[in-house]
Amino acid sequence: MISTDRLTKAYGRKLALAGVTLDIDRGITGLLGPNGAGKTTLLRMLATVMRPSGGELRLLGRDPRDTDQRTAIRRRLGYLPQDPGFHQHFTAFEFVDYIATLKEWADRDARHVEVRRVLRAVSLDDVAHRRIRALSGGMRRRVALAQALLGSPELLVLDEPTVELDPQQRLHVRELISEAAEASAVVLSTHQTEDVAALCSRVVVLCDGAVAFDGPPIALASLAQGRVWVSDERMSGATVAWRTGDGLHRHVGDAPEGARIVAPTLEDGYLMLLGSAALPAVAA
Amino acid sequence: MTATAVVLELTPRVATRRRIVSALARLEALRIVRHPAFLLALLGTVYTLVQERGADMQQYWMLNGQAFVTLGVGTFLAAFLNASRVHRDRADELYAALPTCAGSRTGALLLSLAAAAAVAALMTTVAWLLAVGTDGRIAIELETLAPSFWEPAQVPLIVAAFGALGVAFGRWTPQPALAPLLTIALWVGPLAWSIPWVSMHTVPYLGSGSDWVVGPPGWHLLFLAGIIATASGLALLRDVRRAEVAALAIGGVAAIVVGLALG
Repeated sequence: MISTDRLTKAYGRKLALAGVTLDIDRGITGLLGPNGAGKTTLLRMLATVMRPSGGELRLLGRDPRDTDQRTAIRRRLGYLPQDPGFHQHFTAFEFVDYIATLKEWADRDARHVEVRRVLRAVSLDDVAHRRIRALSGGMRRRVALAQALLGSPELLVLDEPTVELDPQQRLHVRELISEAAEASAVVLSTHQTEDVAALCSRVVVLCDGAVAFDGPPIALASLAQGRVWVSDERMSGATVAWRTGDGLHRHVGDAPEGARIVAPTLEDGYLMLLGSAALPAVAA
Repeated sequence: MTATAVVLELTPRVATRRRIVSALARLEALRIVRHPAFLLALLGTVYTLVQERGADMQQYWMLNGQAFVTLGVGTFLAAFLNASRVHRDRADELYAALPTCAGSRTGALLLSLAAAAAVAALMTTVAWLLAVGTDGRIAIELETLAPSFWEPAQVPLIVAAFGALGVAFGRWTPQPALAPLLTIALWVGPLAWSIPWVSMHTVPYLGSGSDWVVGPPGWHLLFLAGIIATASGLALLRDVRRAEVAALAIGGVAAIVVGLALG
């Protein structure tokens, strides 16, 4: 469904994407990486809102450089940008209805049925007629997700879909995304490694515009196999260490002899892969 | 092609561009006539008309468009804010991923002005019936005159012309800070007063020699149509670089020049 070949994007002299080659099919692919790694740039290209500087990109078997093919892609695309830019004085229903019209639902009755369906799917049917400016951050994020789900698109591009959501809402959104992925290719970017662990069959880690890892989440976690240990005291020599809720110190790095090795998580694998480059993202 | 893809191709979503623009125009029409700027201007216009009832000459001027400058300026502001909405709300990225292009949205915004013009037409009809009556004659000072039907017909075009200017400014200069400045400039500037020029052809003693610009309403209608065409063409040229759109703008300028020269 998505094919990129040595995809590049340059902003002046700075290379935001430095030759990314990926083939993505149905299912959920998670993009991880520190801030400035090129995740949003890549997602913008997949959403046809940004042209690559070089390389090849095909989406749903079409070339987005061609105007007609780009429109055909957009008809089957759902996109949730990092900052969707809401019309604050619209109600949730009016906003999604307006986007549905722009997604070529010209028939009013059919459009309204679809708008109600997606608002119900994100559990916003009871506040559908409330103005967006009166909604909480989590509700707004769900309005944005609702518009992306219009028409059950074949390609769903989601930039940080779970940001601003409380734990219950996050679980619900995970459920929605996993349902959508049964018939679609979903590419999502996130800083939440637990979302990737819970949702994605594949994870791509970007660092400095290049692919640093591409594989299943378990393979990323296994990069830290034998390199995560706990101790009563903070020990030197770890790439990163922190005190956990049970009072123990968890370390990721080259374990000293005799260390109490524990099973690694996806986050540990990510930290191991990127080392100090991952730290700003973890802090975020 | 997968089964899902086939189903998606066959759904009614992929409608013709004309149907999509019509659907968008209906949504935008609702937004413009419910916009606070439009509603406030509507109240102001009704107030002016009611205030001037019975003051025959003044009342007649109102019918010919001056009262509707307020509604026109309100329409301008509402149209400007609607046309600059995507930029002001930083929704450009979301909209860029949608299959409907910015040109279609601008077309829908321009078509939606028909709703504002329809409100103006309805108000003018009511005011006309109250002032002129069904016999088509109006007593002004010591004379009884029969005004041309084309004189009140200018009012919806005045409102549409202000709206088209609002869309053009909104597409080319979508800065929210400009909204109040442009509105004030329109209200007090020469443009506002040249759009509803006092076209009382039926009032002979306001003809040549008076300070008022008096001309046959037909030429003024052409002038107004020229403003609408020019502003619409310019608004569309922001996103649609096609010869017929440029021709619309150029034709509009020609209509303005002819209307001014012969009116």
